[in-house]
Amino acid sequence: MTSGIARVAWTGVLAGILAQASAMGLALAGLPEAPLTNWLAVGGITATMAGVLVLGALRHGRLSCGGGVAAGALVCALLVGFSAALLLPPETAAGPLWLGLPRRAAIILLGVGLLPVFVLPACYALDVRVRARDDERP
Amino acid sequence: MTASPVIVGVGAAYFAICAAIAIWAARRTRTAGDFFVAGRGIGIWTLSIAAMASTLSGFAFVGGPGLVYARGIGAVYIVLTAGITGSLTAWVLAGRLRRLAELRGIYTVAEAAGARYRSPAVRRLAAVAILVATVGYTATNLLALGLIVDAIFGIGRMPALWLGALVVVGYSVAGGMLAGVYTDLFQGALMAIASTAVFVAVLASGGGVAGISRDILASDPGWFGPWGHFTPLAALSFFFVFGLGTLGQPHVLHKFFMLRDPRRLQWYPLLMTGSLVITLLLFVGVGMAVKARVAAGDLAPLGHPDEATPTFLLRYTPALLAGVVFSGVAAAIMSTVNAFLNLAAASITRDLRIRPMEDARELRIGRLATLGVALLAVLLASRSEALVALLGVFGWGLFASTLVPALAFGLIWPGATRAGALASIATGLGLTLVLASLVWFRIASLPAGVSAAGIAIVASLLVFFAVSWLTRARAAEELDSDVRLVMEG
Repeated sequence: MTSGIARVAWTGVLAGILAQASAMGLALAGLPEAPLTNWLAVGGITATMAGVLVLGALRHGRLSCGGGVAAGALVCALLVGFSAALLLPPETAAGPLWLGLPRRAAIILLGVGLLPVFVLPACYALDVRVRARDDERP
Repeated sequence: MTASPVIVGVGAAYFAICAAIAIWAARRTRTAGDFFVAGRGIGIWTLSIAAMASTLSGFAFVGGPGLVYARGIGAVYIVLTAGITGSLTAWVLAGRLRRLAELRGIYTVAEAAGARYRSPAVRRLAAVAILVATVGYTATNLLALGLIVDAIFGIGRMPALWLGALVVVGYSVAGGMLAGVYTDLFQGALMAIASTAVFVAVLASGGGVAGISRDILASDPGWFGPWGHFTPLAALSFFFVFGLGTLGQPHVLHKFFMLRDPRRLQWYPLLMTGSLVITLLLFVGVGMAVKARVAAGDLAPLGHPDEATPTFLLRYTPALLAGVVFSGVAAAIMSTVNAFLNLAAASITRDLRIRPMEDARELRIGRLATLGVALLAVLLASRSEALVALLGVFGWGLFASTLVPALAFGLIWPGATRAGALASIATGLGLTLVLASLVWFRIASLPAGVSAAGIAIVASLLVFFAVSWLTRARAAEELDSDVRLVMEG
């Protein structure tokens, strides 16, 4: 039996791969820098990676708290980070710096690159601990 | 090249420590299990650092910083997934592969794929894909090792290639994976220490991150845009290919078979991700620092982007640190070569063999296969740089497009079928080889953001799902009950 969460995650994975394929198709058709191409790639990456994470974390069709928080954090980091990179105006030499970096570069390097380092491993450790505790119950 | 005595001394000490670990491990390698999976006796620290060390090749220390210098933030997308992939691999594959190995006595990644579908054909085709990719990747890395050994000792490229190969092949043949993981542990620690020290030098060279940013923004603001000098799709494609492709890298997955206590996997993402991010500070930092120094007029523009790391080390760090980093680059390459040699030997000895063999004979054949693959790779590296470069292009994409669908998705989807796995591996293998060759020989070109690896991964995934769905009636009968239990988590 496929659980509701698994069905949603598989839908995300398939939609994400198709979005990535469509982005490549648009690029091959001569539109490598069209806004639609970029948004398809952003959506494809987010849906595929979050979907795979959820499917990996499912156990007997149920998603643990750790897995759920990790998937939510991943979706937020990727969607917010890449969307900000696409939507915010370009930097100027005199513009403000965030933690020493231009704004959009800071969002990408710290938000997409570094933030998951502090969230995902902790969620995984919590998930494994909860599973071990569940296994020990009679 | 004239070698500095300090750099030569550090390099000699590094090679001596590798040799000492190899001798220690060779004395403890008595069975095929010791040779191929380190006797399933390694701890979580060793596993995580060894996985990190074999993930990163010389590209992380030389080619990567050069690309950041030349193309800006967009090049960082190659490693931007580092904070995600360790946890993703742990959730999808680590526990499942470790339990499958324990249940079925599995030594190789192709063996695990075969067990998933109860199919020798899947196992053999996966082994062929791994073998093709490992020989090419090994030759590429040996060529790079020759350059680094020459940079350390100044003995000329060809003697340097043979010297470097002699050390890494020596410990791979004598001590197999037992020598491999413990040299990886030493090499990984060296890489992390060197990278951290260089990052401190990076900050000092430009007056901190803000100073570096201001220097670059004043001369080339596009460099610091969120995609650098790439198109958004090109940068995002790096993220997709290297993020999802990590789930199909056998030199990392193979290490899960070696863990002594599977409960310790709890700490794998933390240790793997932490050490990986620390080691990648050099990748990002040196590219930024050199760009800033060129922008500020302290350095002349580089003749070639690959000169970024050596230029920074020789100009802005003490000779001792430069020696440690040069040894760290050699370590990155050697840990990758060792992992590939062991994978290739395991494919030949266990996955492509005609019939089972007794343990002592398997160990002997394993050593001979390691030697044979290594000799083939050294000969390729010493004869044709163009051919080696082409083979190197195949590596990552081949692993990803052949193993991500059949193994990673196969282990989380009971509906996957043998036909789907075979079709996806064949698609990944064929498309990567054909597309990469067409692009390499300039017969065809791809627009920015579309790579042979990207097309091959997406196509093999779609073929995997489509063929599995068409043959879904057979899915249940092709899945053994014990494997199903492993898949349930």
